[in-house]
Amino acid sequence: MIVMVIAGIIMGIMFNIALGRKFYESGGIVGGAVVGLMMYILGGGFAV
Amino acid sequence: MAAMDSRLKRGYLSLIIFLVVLALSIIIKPHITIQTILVVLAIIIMIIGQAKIQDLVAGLILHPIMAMTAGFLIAGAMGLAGGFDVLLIILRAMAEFEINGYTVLGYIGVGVILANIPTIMPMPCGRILAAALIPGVYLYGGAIANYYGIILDPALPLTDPTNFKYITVVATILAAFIVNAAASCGPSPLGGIGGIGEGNMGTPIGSSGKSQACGIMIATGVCALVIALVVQPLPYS
Repeated sequence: MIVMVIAGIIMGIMFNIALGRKFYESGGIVGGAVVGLMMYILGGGFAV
Repeated sequence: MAAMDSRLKRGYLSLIIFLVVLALSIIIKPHITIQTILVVLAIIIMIIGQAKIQDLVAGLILHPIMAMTAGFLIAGAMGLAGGFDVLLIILRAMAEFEINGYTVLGYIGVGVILANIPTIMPMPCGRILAAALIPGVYLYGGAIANYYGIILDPALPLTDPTNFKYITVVATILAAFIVNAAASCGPSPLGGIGGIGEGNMGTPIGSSGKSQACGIMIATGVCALVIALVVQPLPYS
């Protein structure tokens, strides 16, 4: 779970930069963490 | 006004039915193909939205890679039923949700979640959600740009710096969503291409799901970066 949340945060930082915001802005980081968590619960590894 | 209200009500109903059925399909894993479920779903939403088959394909921007008919039918039905208007209202409300005066997710955070929805709810074919939700993602890309004061001016050429900035924001979120959707069939527990690979190797089904999902998340961010930083306007006058 931690790995997926960290991957989500890295992805969120990339979105912050891509959409012209500062890399440390909370929107992308919190959004990325939420995505990582949701993906852990519902996505990919659900069948395992 | 009354007509708009009833359209929004139909939109809420169709969007809720669509998302609940998709989530239930992943959780319950029914022994029928997802295409059958989607076609039935499209018929239900068509009835709610009072739409005809001819209406569904009109006004949609078709892309060859997203030829999944069921996804397009859903997109057409949702568009007519007002599902995308409602989706935009919900996304805006999520983006502007505040605690102690601070937004929790903001427009970027909601954009990140929206771009990753296909892998959060992985279908056996990535085209399904890509085709079904792309009009909503396109509208939300415009909403992000407008929120940061970037307005599309139809009187100016598309290569004008302001217009190009608007297009870049929309293209960034749209491309990230498409890449995420295209890859999302890999970790699908409903029998995606990753499951086929696992079956051929004789490994337990779903054993590579989590690692695939991590890779897709990172690739989605890389795609957004590439589109935003590398794409330049064409030098024509």
